[in-house]
Amino acid sequence: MDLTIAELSRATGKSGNYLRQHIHRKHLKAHRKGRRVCVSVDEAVRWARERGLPLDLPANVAITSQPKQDRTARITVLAILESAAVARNLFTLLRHRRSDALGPWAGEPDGTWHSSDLGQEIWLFTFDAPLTRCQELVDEIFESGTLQIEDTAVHFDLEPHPRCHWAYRDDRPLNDASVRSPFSRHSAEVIEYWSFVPDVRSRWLEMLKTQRGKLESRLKSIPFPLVRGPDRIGNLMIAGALDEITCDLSANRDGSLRFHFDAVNLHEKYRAEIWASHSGDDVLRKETPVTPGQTTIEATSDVDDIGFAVYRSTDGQCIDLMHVRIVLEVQIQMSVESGRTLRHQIKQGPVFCVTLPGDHSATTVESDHERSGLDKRIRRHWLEQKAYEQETIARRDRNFARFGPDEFDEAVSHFIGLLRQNHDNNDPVYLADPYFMNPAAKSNCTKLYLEMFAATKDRELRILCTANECLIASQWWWSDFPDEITSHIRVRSFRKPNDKKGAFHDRFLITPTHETLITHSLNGWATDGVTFAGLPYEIYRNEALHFWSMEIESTNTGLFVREVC
Amino acid sequence: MIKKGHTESLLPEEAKAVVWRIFGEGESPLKGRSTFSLIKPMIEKHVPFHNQNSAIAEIRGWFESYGDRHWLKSEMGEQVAVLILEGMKSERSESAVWAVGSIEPDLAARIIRAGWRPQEFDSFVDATFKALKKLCDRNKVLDAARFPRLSNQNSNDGRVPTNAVVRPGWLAIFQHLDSHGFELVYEGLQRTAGNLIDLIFDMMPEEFESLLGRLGHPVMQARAANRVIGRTRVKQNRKTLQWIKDDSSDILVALAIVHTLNAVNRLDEDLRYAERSNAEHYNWSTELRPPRDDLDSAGVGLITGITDRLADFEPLRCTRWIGELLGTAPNIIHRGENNEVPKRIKQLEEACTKLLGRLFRESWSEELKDELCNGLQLAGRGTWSRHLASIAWEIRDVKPERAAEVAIAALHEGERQIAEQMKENRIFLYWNDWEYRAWIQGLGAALSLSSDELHLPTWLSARCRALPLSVWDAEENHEVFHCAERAAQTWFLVAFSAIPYLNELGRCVDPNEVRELAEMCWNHCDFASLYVRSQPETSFVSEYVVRLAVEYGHPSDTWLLNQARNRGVGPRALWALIHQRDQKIARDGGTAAHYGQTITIELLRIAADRFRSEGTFDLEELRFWGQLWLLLGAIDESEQTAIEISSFPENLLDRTDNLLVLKLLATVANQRRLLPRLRDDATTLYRQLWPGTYTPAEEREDRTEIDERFNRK
Repeated sequence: MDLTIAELSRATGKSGNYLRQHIHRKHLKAHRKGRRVCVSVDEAVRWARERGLPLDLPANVAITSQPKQDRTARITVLAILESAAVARNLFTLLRHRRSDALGPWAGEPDGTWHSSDLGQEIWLFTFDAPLTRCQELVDEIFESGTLQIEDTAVHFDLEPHPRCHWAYRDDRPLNDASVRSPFSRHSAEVIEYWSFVPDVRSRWLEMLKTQRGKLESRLKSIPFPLVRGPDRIGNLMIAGALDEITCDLSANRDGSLRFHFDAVNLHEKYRAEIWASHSGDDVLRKETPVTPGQTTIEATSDVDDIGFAVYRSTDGQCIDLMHVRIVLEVQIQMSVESGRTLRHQIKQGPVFCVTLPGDHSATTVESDHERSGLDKRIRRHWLEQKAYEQETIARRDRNFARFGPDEFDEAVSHFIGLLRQNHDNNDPVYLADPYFMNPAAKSNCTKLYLEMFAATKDRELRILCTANECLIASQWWWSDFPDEITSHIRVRSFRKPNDKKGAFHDRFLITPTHETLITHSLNGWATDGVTFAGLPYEIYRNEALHFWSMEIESTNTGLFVREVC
Repeated sequence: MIKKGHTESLLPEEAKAVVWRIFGEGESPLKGRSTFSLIKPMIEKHVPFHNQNSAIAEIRGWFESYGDRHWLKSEMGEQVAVLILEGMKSERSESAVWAVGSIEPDLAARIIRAGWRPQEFDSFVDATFKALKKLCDRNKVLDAARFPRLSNQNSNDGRVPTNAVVRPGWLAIFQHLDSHGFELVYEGLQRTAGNLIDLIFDMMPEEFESLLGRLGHPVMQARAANRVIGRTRVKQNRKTLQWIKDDSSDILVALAIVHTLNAVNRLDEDLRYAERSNAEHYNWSTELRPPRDDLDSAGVGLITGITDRLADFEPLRCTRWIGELLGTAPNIIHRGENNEVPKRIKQLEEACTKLLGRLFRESWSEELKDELCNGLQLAGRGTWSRHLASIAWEIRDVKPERAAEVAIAALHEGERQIAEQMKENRIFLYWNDWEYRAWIQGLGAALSLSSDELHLPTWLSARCRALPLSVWDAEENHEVFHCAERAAQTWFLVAFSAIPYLNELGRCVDPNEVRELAEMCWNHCDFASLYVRSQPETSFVSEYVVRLAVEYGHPSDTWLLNQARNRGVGPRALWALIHQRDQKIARDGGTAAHYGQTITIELLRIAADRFRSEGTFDLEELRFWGQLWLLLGAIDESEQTAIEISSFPENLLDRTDNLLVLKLLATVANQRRLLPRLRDDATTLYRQLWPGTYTPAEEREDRTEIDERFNRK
């Protein structure tokens, strides 16, 4: 695929004259196509990379630094069926690598689609072909918004500008890398077209709620953790193996490290940085020139964590990075001493202290103007995803529940469930709601009050509010409830003595074993919804006990307390 | 002599006449009541009032009790038996039958022989078979309480349906009952039913063949056969062979085969005993006595007796039985202690193949092949297609086209088996199992016969290309890739196994093809080792491949040196390469000494380079490096390998590893003084292996050599 001078100018932000000068000086190879002067994409990539220029290619142009002719590719399309002939893209991954790296038994790619039904109306389609053919399919996606797979049209909704990044190998568990290389022996150059259409993602999240385990096992064959990274749903990812070189690092039993390097054609120069650590302490960090074959690096200490990074000398780009945690069989005892220091003690061995990172860290990310829009959206998308994940964890631990205004009944049910916890314990229950005495805007609150009173019948329910005199006097709605169901309830109002404002503003519920923060007053649940969050700290419990222990209508306690009923 | 004793004096006559009724009702497996609980109601029903209490007390006194359980005192057995057998007179009701069933069969037989007329016993036999049939019809042959897992899951009614113990193929059923069925045949079968079967077949052993068919359950049939054979085998070891007749039922033929093969096992045990001990008090299994009788020939006679008698059957039936026999015999005939094919199995398979070869030549039809396959499949062994290959090989000269057809069928079955195992992700290479090896050899033979224009590299390539063995597969589904890798190794084994057969057929494989195959194997190993943990380059396949490549590939020294440099040739293959080369040179007369030495030095240099540069090796690899250094006499590498093997935790090292370390250190000590630490290690190891003067026979040569090497310096 070729770029015209105008297209390359737009892609790099450089003027046409600048480009023509470079062509004239033979820094940039160009050729004629009819009357137009063109530059091949690969040449443009090389030229831009060497000069550190941005390269924002048109949507239908994919970047690859490798020659396409000798590369073979596999497209994996995960789609959800909307009808027999229409499907939506859940995730599409195009991987490509050197044809001769497929193994001794791999024949010519058959160029036909293979499909398998994963259940839940999810289908997996795979297609093996030379990279050039696969690239045509990508072009088809951008031209028509669909990919025709036999009788099924898979619909894509992609942002036109891709995001290019690198994916490295990192065998450490729980690494923070955004995307791990889908190739087991190579890092990857990734071009990713994002999708921000919410409905497919919502469907996926719904499925994850109920079928997480099943989906995880069924999607084993896609080398991308879609279940853990659902923010990528709808995307098209093109990953090219950086397989002009092959690197490996292993630790010998004698403590030395063995770095292996192979290159198909050693046109470029590389340098490698090799590191090793033991119990978190760096014991080796060494830059070494890369030569084909084995290089032995002596380490002066035991190592439990090794890694390397290989950089291309011309532009300093990291081409391969790998981090391996060596499994050591040790018996350890671990205890948290104080603060944020973890103490590890190997049985009958030395004690290792590990200081955890500080509470605050900041990273400044600067991006060029043109891409910042996309990056911001991806960032927002990612944050949204993280919030969803955290909420899922909290919900799973039964520590978090959020209800919209239309889920009033569910909110009441959840609240009553909280009140009924430890029903056999007769200790009083505390409910703090500054606006408890305010009449409810909607009539369905009556149901909430009735159920709340009934659920606490066998023990005392102590309600803390901030009602003023006026409200206390006009408690008509409260008087409507029969005494039989309110006799165990005591309500006290807490106000600041001087300015006569409420003494608190938080809403919470304290049962004998749980402390729950409630975001909205009871009378607002039907209009604004409510969220319950469990807290482990007992701050509110102590606060409630402290408030309740104050003398009524005394001026000596710092707050003015009044018994409402 | 029957004792009547005190029962006559204490028990009134009316009560004596009721005893068989009490036992008949109480012991009936169909009624589920207890004899003890029936004493009172039965006496009250049949005995005058004034005698009832004393009779009840008297009869209850015959029983011992523990809690709710009551059983007849052993000393009362004979007296009660007499009362039952005399009391029932000509009564042949179901109750009377079960009452007799409560008596020990030997005792009952003695009393009956003394007091019953033949007609009386005949009528009893008829009544017994009726009662046993009822038991079968109601699925009450087995005591469900003993086999809850076999009882009817749906109805929980205490019944064990016949199909719970039946499997396809009569031979398989009786083999299973014979090998694993003690609990079914002796403990599971209702006690009274078992006693009745034992009694009838004790009394009428000559009627076994005709009466067997009247027993409607395989457990009963197995019990009857055991009883009859237990009595006859010690007198006539070939008795069971007589049951194999063209007009015999399938049940009888199956029982005959099982018990004839058992007799072969017993003769072999007798033979082993006679060879190693004083047999004065030995309880011989048959009427044969060594050295007067040749037990080995008797065993061969039994095996050929089976095939000779089956040969008289109509061809389709004969083929079917031979199929069942070939499939099931390895489950009956005792395996040796080593992993070689058992001698008797070999004899049996040779006899069967010969017979089948004749049938396939003279009575050929598609049905014949189908019947054989049906019979072979019944035993459920995945390696059964090897017998098809054997037949193809047997008839190759006389009927080459038919041989090719049968060989192709064997090969297709092999492919089907591998494809099926691939689907289930459970392909394994059991090279230590003789049946597996025979299967691979069989597939090799079948491959050699399957086509006149066989190009092994092309054939192998087609098989491997059909497997999910690309890098995509390795990255997407490791389990499937791993399984496919083993399938590829299986095809390598088959392809190389075909080479000797092709040579025997006079179609010698081009040595270039053999070497090409070997190189394909190294490429495969080199590639696969990047993605699987099992290290294909150290598997036995690589050793097998390299040995055949050296034998049939006529490799030049340059080729050998190039292979030694190849990373796909792991330490095991490297060791086998040099070992096989040495063997071949020794056998063929060898090359000029100085030239051979130059090549050895170069091989040592290459191997040493690889040992130094290829990094960390696991224990399995170090074992073969160690063997290689011993072969090449490498001093520094021997020392290094000994140190590395010793650094593994002791629980991972076995006696062979310790012996290898000691040999390596002895090799070093033979050339130079050992480091003090290593000398101490060697001394400790030596004492650990041989604390005294005793040396196991298989280690004597090694010990002598080690002693010599250590004593030189």
